[in-house]
Amino acid sequence: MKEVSQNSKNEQSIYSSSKKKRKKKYILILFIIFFLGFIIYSYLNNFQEGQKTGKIFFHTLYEMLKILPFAFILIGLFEVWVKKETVIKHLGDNSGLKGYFWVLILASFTVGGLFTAFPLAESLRKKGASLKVIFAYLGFAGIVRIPMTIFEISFLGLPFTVTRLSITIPLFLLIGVFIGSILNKKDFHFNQG
Amino acid sequence: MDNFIIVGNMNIILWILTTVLLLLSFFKDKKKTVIALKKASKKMLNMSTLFFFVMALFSLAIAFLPPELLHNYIGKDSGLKGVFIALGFGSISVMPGFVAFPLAATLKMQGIPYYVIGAFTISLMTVGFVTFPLEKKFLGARVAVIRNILSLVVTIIAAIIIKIVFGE
Repeated sequence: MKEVSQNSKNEQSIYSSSKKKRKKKYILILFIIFFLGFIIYSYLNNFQEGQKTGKIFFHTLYEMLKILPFAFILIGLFEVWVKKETVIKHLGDNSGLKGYFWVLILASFTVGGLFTAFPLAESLRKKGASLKVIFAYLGFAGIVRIPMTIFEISFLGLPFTVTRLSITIPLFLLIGVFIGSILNKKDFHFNQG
Repeated sequence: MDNFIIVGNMNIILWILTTVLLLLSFFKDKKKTVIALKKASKKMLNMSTLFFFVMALFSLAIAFLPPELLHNYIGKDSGLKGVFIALGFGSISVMPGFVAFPLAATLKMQGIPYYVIGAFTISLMTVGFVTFPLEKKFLGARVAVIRNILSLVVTIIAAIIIKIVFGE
């Protein structure tokens, strides 16, 4: 009997959390509708900042659509084809420094910014990658992306970029280890918002 | 201009790589490939509302916090104050690399030291007010806040070391 009531309690809490999520989603959709209304209003009334916002919005949307579907297909293929043992061996809790090296390479080729970095992190976790390695990856994804780094070198010079990378890479590795080891103790799951 | 060509090519590499792998997967196992595509579309759909929301915030931030704003606020003799303005601007605003780095180069030419520029570019890369909703979805609010605060700390440390290295 006790178990049954426990179960129904769990179901209730799952139900109310999904209800909350739906409410949140409606608020987001409402915001997007207002936003689009604002853009249309700006074009009708020649409001310059609003027109600029619209231009930037559709331009970035176009740029993202050139990247995201492909990146997500790659993530899908990864989930289907790559074996859990392989990920555990190379990125798992016992992978040592090599694991951080692999995610550093992965981060430099990450396209689409955090929009792909987070789903990829989630997939890696599902396959058994260490939380420390994953959080190092999320940090690296901000600082070592190749196109960005090329721009940086050509505008600010190689000495600046080398200095920046040699400071930030070790620090974000430490952050990854720090956050990862704390969350390891706390039964952390991705996609909980 | 070479940089734009390289960055453009990154997209082409992504398209070719994805197509080739997808075809290989399809010939090897049709069922698995269909599952992979279903997973991909489900993940995209799952993120779509938040995606449009963040994109809207992103474009509002670029339009209402234009690069010129930073340019006007950071003076030559700004020092520590300059670092904080750069940090704040880098954290709140968003801009793609091909806008941020030319701006940084202009600032450098006007005599703004590297450590102020570093405070701006590194916080721009690692601290995200605009992308926070996305981060919250995947990590939960608490972890997302911790991650951003630690990124801010890294930026400050980096600015200090850059100051020492370049002796400005």
